[in-house]
Amino acid sequence: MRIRKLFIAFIISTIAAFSLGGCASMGVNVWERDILAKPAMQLDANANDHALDDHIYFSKEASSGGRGFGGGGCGCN
Amino acid sequence: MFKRLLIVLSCTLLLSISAFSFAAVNDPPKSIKLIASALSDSAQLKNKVVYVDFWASWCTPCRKSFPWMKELQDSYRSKGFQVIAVNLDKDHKAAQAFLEETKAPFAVIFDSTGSLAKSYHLEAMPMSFLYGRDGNLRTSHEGFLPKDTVDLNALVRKLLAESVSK
Amino acid sequence: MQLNGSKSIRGALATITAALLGSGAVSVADQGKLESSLLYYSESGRVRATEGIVNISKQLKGDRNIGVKLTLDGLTGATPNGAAPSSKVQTFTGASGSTQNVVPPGVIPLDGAFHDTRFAVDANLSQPWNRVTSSVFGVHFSAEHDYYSFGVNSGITRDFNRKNTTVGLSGSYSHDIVAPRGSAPVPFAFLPASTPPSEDGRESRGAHSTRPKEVFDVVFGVSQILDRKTIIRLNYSYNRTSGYLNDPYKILSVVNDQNSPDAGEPVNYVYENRPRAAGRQAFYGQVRRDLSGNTIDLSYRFFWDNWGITSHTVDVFYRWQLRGDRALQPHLRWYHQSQASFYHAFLVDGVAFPQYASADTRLARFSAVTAGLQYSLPITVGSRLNITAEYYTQVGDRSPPEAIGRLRQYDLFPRMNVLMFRLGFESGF
Repeated sequence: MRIRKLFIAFIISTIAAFSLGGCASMGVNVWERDILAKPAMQLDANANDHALDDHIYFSKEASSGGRGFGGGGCGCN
Repeated sequence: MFKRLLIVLSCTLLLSISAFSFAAVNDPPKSIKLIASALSDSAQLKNKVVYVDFWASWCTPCRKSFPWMKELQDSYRSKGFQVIAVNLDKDHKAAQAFLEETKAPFAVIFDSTGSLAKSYHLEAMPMSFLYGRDGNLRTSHEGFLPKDTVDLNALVRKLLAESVSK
Repeated sequence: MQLNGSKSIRGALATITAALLGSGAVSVADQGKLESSLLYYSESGRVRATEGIVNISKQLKGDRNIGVKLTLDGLTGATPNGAAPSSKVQTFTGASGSTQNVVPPGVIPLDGAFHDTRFAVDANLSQPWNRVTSSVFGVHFSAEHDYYSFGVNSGITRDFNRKNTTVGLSGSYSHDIVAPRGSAPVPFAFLPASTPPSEDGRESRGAHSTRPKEVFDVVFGVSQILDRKTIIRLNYSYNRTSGYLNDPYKILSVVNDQNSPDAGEPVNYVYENRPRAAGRQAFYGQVRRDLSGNTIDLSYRFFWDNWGITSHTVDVFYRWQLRGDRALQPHLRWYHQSQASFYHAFLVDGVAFPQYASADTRLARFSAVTAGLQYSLPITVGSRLNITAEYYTQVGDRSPPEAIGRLRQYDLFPRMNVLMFRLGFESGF
């Protein structure tokens, strides 16, 4: 169990490291964010829906946490 | 468990930051010639102060900058000031709709393939470049916030006051 | 109390997210945004709840953004009280000592019908430092008749790679007060005789009427744009909760052991006993992709805590864009959790009690599925209405191997079926 958790942690931090590091090339040019700027592509939209869901699942299940917050969008300014 | 994980994540984060701090930032074209060549009349920018603005209809700050650019163009057109708005929409209809809505009085270049944007090595949206009457790049500006207009207005007036050197 | 205040901090964290980064979407009036939602929740034969949220955010001078969220919810109905079914009628005295709850044979006992109202307010202020860094600070308060929560939260985000990568760190702290009706019971104290009800009921309860609880959360996340149509997000979250973590209304049946003639029949009831601290962690990964104008979103969460629970959550939705800026969005969520190390469907008479025990099915092993559909349509320019219907079901061990005697005949984890309807309105102003 512990080994599995450490393995998952390693995988996720490796992915995170690749995202941040060697990848000045990963991603798109600033003028290519048209699709990412669409409302449907905003990870943090529908905050109320997520709050309602989190409330329900927290009171009916033993798990919590997860979503956090993220970037994306048009990346303007 | 948590402490170890935090150390792992912090280390990868720090390593990653140092890794890409070495990435070089390329310089945008120092001369207005590239922009001028994209216009139907490339001589129309001679001896003018030119404000080149890269924008797209999906970019909210870009849309917000249009009223200010309109005002600037109307105020200083007679003094030899020209706004060139380079549109980067891949969907031309969206760009047209916005231009009709705002009735922009300045020149628009449509760069849907992004080749001009690439030549300018754009780092932000919107991004603008101010050229003096001599056709040389004086400053670039990333993003647009209402408070930016104060300094930009002052700079435009300063450049307009310069006499034609050619 | 099933729906209590501590999870509101998670709601507060969700509000940070909206404040920190905004939507980046084009809007006609972009000074402010209003989002209001109404939820109707109905568990067949059990709890019914209505919840309303009004969320307003507005841009201030200096590019700061302020957000205020008001939540009001009301609950009625009954939930399992933790006791096991019996072949005889069972009678439980209400928390105030004045009501009686009579349970027929063979049925999972539910606690007496209750009615509860909760009010919460969250406020946050976000501030950009420069083009790539932004921070947010927020406060939270919630109150219901037997639970109060006060909290603060803070977060910071930083963009890299021409804003293709965003890293964020946020934390929250809340101080909660558990104030159960009739005061907090002593863990593992035996219930008083069920008939007749008496003021003696208070003797086995603790001297203090309120108990404190501290909740600490931290979330670290990275989001990365992969290409013009794809964005992924990875988060790690940690929660530490300490203090009074028992459900003050939940009990366990103490039943006759295997060798007795009435094996499995209750001889007594005790209040549950949970550890004084819980440490919870989760890894979360999400990918969202544009597919020719439609959108698909897939996420996975792996959760584990020091109560022995691990869980997996897989959530997927597909947004099907229709003409006229309408959309249809089917949604599917699959969830599975293992049971807490101290979860017991019942205790056995004559056997020493374990250190901790709870029969709250929220801590049991079960799988759950949610299936839903949302219809979204524009109302005016810059405003939308979302109508959602969802079905949620939990399936657990109806007949766990440790069931003895009569308990083998009964359904110890009746299937939970829930219908949810949601109406959401959002508008720029």
